[in-house]
Amino acid sequence: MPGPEPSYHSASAIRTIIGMTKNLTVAGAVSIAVVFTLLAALGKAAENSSETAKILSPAELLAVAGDGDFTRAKLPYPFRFPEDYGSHREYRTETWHLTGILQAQGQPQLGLQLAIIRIALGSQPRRVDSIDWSSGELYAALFSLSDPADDKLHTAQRLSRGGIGLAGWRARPMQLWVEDWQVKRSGDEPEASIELRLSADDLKLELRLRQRKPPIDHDRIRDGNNGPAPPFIYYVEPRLEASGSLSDDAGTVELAGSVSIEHAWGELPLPGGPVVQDRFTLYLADGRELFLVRSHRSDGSGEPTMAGLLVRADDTPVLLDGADIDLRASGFWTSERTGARYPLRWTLSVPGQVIELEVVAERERQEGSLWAPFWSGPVRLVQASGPSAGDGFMQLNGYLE
Amino acid sequence: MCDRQAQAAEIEIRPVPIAVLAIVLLLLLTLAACSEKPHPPVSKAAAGPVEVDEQRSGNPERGYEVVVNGSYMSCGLPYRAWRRAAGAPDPGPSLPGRNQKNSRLSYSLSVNQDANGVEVVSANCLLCHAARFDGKLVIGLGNEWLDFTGDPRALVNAVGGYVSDDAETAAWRKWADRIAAIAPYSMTDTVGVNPAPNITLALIAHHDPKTLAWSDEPLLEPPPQKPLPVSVPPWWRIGKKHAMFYNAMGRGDHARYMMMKSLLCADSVAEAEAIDQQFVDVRAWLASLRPPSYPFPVDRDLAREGRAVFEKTCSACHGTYGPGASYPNLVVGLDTIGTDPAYALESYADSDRFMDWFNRSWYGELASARPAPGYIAPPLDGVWATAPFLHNGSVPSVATLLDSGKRPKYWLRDFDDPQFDARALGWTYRSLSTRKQEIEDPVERKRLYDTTLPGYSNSGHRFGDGLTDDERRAVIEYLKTL
Repeated sequence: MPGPEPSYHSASAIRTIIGMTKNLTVAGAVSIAVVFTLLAALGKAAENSSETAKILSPAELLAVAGDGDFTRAKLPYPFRFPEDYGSHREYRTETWHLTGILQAQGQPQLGLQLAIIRIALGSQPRRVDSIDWSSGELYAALFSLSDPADDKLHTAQRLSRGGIGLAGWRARPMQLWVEDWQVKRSGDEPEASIELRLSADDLKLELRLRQRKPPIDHDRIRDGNNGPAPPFIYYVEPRLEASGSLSDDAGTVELAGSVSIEHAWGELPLPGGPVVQDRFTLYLADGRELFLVRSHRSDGSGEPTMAGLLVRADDTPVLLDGADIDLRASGFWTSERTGARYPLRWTLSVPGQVIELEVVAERERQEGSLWAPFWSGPVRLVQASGPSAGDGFMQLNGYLE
Repeated sequence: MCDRQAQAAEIEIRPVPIAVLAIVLLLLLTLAACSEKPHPPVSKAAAGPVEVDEQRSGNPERGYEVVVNGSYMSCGLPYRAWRRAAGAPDPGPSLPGRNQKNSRLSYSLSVNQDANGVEVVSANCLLCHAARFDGKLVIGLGNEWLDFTGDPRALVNAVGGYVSDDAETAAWRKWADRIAAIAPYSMTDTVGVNPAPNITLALIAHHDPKTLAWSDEPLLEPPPQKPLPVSVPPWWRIGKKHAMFYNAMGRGDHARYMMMKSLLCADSVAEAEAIDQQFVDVRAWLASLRPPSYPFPVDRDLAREGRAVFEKTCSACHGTYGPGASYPNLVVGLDTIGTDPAYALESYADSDRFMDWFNRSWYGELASARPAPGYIAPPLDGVWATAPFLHNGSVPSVATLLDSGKRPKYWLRDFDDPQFDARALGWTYRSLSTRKQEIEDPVERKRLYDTTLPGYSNSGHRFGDGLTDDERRAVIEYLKTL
């Protein structure tokens, strides 16, 4: 005798919620943290272009985004690569987030971050202050890189309208660009490679990234999780092998390292709200990658919540939630410039995955400041005993007291 | 709302993504336990018949409207942010009387305005008190398919990423603070059982009994973090019962208990009184509810035989049905009933501070919390729809309820594709030989009902053991007619 319809059973409340939460957060790694800083960039750019020099809040900027009939994220999604590396203009917002670590021989590690956000604008041309938003979509980008010689962070932003050649995505050759910053893809999997050209201050970075694992898509990550569809779709390229060069007026240095890409499209979190996120991209020495997102209130109240994605050495993704992860701050650094107090040392435990280690910032002064100050830089993973457990990248938001 | 535990069936929650969180709230709905402690000694009830308490009369139609539009919840997730995060999922089955905005949502969610005019969404009573059976949504059927094993704070933080302006932020923060206060007391070991009683106690700990003002810091020692499992009873029992809750502690005015879910948001006597006026009508509506008719064929001759067996074996506690029906409102002492005592004992022996709070509070002006050392034998109207059984949902079917030797120790319902077993009157299940802690698959581990866990025992109520198999089959057939 038939029972109720399966979809009504499955999952029930919290479970669905949690399912969603995981997706929100994991993908959201990109989104929230990234979007936050990106929109900050937007705010700055807007400020610069406005004759009245009014600082637009991220929310004001996003308010120009369209509320029209954009496609809602729906799973299962028919992932197709290489097409899905590109933009999905039928969705309202989209982010590409590259994070990683680079190192020249015998030199300290550098933290690398490139975040690009695409925002579709409303169907009706609108103006906010002196900015013409009528071109259909906006591309904003943030690039941050540790200084190779000094304990400081270089940051740069770009803001351009799509549709008029200043920024966008083209399929042949596959290229994502915001002004002079470029992400080019070539070759077929599994030997696909990505060329990256970025600049900040007087630094120029050229990198080639090689896929060693296929993209891990949202459907695989959600396998077995029959909760409601999250508001965006994403995939992760968990550990790309990076090599290239960094140059400035003084010369050029060869670099190598690991970079991850998270790409999400759909309804991405807004910046400027009460919740901010810390994100960790951790490369374990045993071949696993661990992506963690710690959501917390920017005013310091309430309890942080955790979500994570572990990619096993055989590429199997494992979603983690707060019950799986114990992450506690164990050491702090206070920025002389902003007064923000950042947790730069953490004790991490994921008992179900046999992970017990310390996450320790390689450098302290990796603070950047756009709309609000943030910290982003390289970390090393330390076990209580034994050899190095790996390394990674950490971004912290919302620590200005 | 009210009775808190619930059982029910399938929920339609799927469409409501985040909304779900709201769920959490709903849970609250339930109850209140309560009795006393430091002040005057808390009055306890004895096992035996429960005396009738007069109820305020109300308008059932208006009560229905209150329930489906959820106007008793003045806080929730900011609707705009929730919508952005949740999208516009298929709302599923629609209910008559829903206002325009609510008609676009799952039946279990409602939108209201908070004090600052921000639209907020939260779960209404029907999250726990409506469920599907045979493809139809049955209002009042306890929802036995909800999953409270997760941390609701994660969802709240996730939605926080979609909140924008100051007014929305303030609304979100209130909700986030309330969820944070109850989250540690809401997480069950097992999918399908309900933590509402414990959530209610956690909420009580944060309210002043006289002013109902909220305190971020608990004013009483909070309840134990691990909720005891409860099955959600069907609403249509309320009309017959003289007291609310499995241990019959809800004496006096039932509406005051039914509105306790609003403790999540309401922080003043003025707001509580406005809700109280609505819940007089809600109680009237709940008391008017009747169970649905059994949707599958019934062997009338066998049912007639079963009736005779039932009236000889079961009616002394559960009453009689049909013309001249009677219901004794009888609390059966723990020694006699023998079912898991944890729930009754927690209220009877370890919750005096909450009982005392209730009796001294605005709620206690019309109602009183008087826990009994036992469980009330419920009316069995529509019992065929209410698996799993006993107050903790520990027994999967009527067949196993009537034959205690066949009750599974570790069992697993099919939450993905549940099938109703009309021979046993319950959802089909698999019996396992493994304790919960030893199950590797995390989904299966959360779904496994482990009767060896504290509060989860399937012991007691062995009154059917002396029946023959034929007699049990006949009783089961008869129960389909109730």
